[in-house]
Amino acid sequence: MSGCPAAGTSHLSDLYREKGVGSTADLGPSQAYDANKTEVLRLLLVLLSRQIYTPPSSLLTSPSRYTLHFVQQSRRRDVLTILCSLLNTAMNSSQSPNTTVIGGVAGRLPYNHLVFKGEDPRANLVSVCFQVLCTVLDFQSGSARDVPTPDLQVCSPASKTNAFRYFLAKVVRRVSESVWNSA
Amino acid sequence: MSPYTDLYPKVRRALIEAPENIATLVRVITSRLFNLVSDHTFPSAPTKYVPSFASSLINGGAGERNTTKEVLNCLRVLQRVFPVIFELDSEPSVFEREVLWKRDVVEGQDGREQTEQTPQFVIEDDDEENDGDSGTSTAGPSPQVPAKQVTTLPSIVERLLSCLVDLLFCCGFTLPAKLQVDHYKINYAIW
Repeated sequence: MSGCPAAGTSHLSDLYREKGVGSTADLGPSQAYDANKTEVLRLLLVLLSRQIYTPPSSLLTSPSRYTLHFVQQSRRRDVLTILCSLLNTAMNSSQSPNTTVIGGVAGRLPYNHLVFKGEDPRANLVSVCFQVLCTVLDFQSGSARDVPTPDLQVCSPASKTNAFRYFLAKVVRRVSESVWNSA
Repeated sequence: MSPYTDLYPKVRRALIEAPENIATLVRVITSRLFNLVSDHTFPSAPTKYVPSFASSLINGGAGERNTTKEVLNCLRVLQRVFPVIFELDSEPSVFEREVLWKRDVVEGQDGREQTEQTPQFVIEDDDEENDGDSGTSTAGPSPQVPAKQVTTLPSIVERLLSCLVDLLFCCGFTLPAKLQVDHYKINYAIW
């Protein structure tokens, strides 16, 4: 398993698949890739779901080792790439066109979700993206708990506690700044 | 009907009656997955997406090895086995500690997997840490002192998580094949 050589910043926009954070061009989705992503994310979600077998009383004190490892030990670059990919896919869900004929028809006719169950790869991918985002961003158990800042009386995530929460806060700040500047 | 429907009760029973069988299953499937992902035949040539209600009508190319399909099957089996392991106990079970999270320590050079590991998991047996000579000794097992070299391999879960991250950004599997640069099929491009 190997990483790719660092891409030149001038070609950075070519690398984004979804419209959204850091990207403007939509290069068109592909059904097979969407279905494969869904399978990978589903297994990831299973691993991140260890916490639901913990009784509510010890939920915050005994963190799931799987999620803890994922939010604290993942490489910084991986965290940013995964977070932006999930966010883009989830946020573009409302405008994504159905590309299969049957999926397209099924999405518009009543009760057809019962006939062609789970056959729209795009909808499945968006759904699992939201679920992974929720599991990862909502994770505050044990050492993943937000730390209180010394000057302000609020708790905020740090890259050491939950890298996904930390970078989401950064991304949101960046996006809202650019929105304010362009307005 | 999914071919995995009756898998849960079987795995559940096996986990109580013969947990070593489930341990073997997890070890075999994960190592198969890791080998497939690093194999040059993966991902196999992209096939057109066929919704499952239509796939029974079309006979796929029989006889030809489809590594993409094999990877997907590994993922699907693991998706079904892990929840059963988790529901065994609210606390991390012995099974999880001993099978999923156990870091195997390999001494000497006979570790088959050593070449695949990243240097960060290499721990020197002697007391010198992060010194100048550690760079040379972590580069590979040195033939002079094989008994002193101890390598801690990452656990199954650690390898699986990093493998899944790679799979999310794999050209020809989850990213368009044209994004591939040379032979680097893993390209951390935002989608």
